[in-house]
Amino acid sequence: MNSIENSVIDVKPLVFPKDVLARISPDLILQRYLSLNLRPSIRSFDEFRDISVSNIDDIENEFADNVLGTNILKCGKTIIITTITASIIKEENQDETFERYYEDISGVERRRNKVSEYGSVYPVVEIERGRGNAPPSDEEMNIGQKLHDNILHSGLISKKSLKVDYGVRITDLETNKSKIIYPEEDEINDVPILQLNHYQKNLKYVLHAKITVFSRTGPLFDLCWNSLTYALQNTKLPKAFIDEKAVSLKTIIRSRGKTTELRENFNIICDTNTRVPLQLNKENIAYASNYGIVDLDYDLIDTEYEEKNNDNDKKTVLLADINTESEEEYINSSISIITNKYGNLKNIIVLGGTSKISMEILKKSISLSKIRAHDLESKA
Amino acid sequence: MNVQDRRRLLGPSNAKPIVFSAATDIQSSEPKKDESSSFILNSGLIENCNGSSLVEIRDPKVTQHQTSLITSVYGPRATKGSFTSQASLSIQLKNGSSEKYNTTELKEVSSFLVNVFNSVINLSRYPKSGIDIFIYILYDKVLSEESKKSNNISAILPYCISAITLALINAGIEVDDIATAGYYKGDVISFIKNGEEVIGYWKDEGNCESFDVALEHCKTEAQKFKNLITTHILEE
Repeated sequence: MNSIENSVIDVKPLVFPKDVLARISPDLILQRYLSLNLRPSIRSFDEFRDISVSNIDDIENEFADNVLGTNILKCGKTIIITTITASIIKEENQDETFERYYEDISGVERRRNKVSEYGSVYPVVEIERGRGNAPPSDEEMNIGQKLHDNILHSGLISKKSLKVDYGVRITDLETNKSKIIYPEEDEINDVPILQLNHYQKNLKYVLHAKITVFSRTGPLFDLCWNSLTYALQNTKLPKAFIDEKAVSLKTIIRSRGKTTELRENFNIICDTNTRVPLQLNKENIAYASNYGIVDLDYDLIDTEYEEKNNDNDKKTVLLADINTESEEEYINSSISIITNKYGNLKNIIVLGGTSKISMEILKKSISLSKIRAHDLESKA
Repeated sequence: MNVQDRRRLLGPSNAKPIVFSAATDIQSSEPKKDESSSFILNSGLIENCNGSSLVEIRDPKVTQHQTSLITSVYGPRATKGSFTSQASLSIQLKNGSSEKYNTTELKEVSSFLVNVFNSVINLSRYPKSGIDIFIYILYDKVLSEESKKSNNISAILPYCISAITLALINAGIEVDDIATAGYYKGDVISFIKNGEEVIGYWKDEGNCESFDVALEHCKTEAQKFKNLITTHILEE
């Protein structure tokens, strides 16, 4: 017992490298940087990371068969690859009934029906983490759902632009040459077009996006959104046609031997050679950016600070484009904005968290995102 | 029964994937005869894994493919369960922009690659751990018209092997030698020790005359890849 009391314990201060300290105490390392007017990534407070955009089309000269649009977005170390594919769905004809009820409804209902004029994209987000075939993580599911909802409500894609205006392929029996006639080409002298209009079914493209993220270093929603927006802007939909003989093809389907119904087949084939750009509502193209709000806490880095300054006013700063672990871990208050360069806000999410978000901060973040959107738009 | 995956947004279940007409006689837009080949190697581009590589190869002569592969290596990391005397290796390939290869093809290739790299990586140095390798086929384009029809995955095998070797070196995982491979008319042969030792042989449809001919051609190809990798490592 005595020997322990008498022995001298030599306490050496532990020194951690930056990366390790960022893990152990993200708040300390963040505050130390902030006190130097810098951020862990050596950016200033309202500085964004540069984004470089390219698409696979540039490299490849031609799309792979079923790929309609691509984008590769690089932001710092993070790489996001988006590819757009499509499928075709037959829509039940609801337009007439819809029109009838449209007169009676008002307010919220009307707004809700306004949304039904727009289409969306079904995104599948995959963040590479070396997990193999594990089920999707919460983050992947959240980002996917948010992307889908925001595209729908932003009114970027109207349902009209997704409609499949298919033509007919006519094969001349004598020459055995086939030719495709599209409705807009107005060759009225051809009988099949008249038939076609009669049988025109309500077909619609469904857009799918596959978003793969490599080396995640910070929040991803805004990067995924931007990548998806770029990809949609270079998406080209194929022209589609059906064979002449299939125009009026119907098959009888029996269910449980009682009812008989006629069902029309649709064997739509897409033309490999012609593609038309997807018509987006240009005024609704918007870009996303995110911000973190953090209180400067001088006590943490300077233990004597409290004694020197007695005022309780905490200084709050706005950090643009959150990245690196120490920022993401420590910052609880954040703002996420989707806007275009004119400040046409599409979505804004403010999370109060632990810091006070003042009016100035909100205004500053909106003006910053306008500048950011302007910059991102020039890269499209 | 068709169970819908509710965790991913896959769209309406009754939607049909689009079908394209077979490239018609209308105009097959004469492919530009660009005979230049290019090899781009890069490593360490992915932050949150142990090692990574990007291999972009355009080879109009031998394999007639233009391919880009992103490879990431995770490990050696501890595995759950009982003690194993050596590391277990897993390799997964993923289709990138286009769903070009089906899962069985990719599985076959990955099991071939596991066999190759089991004999290259010094597995006994990493007991009770796992090394997971992921290859993402960013794009893969066939350059010549005749090989477009066969859609062979074997042509990109040498690229996969080079990509994995590079990523393993980037991860600092101990390997016996730089493993590379060559392709010749459907045959892929992988070598170490300056082409003295064959560690993998893949036979695919193709009109290869005999094994000896293939061996010679593959050896020169493999040597070319090895030189590329060594210069890349030295440059770093």
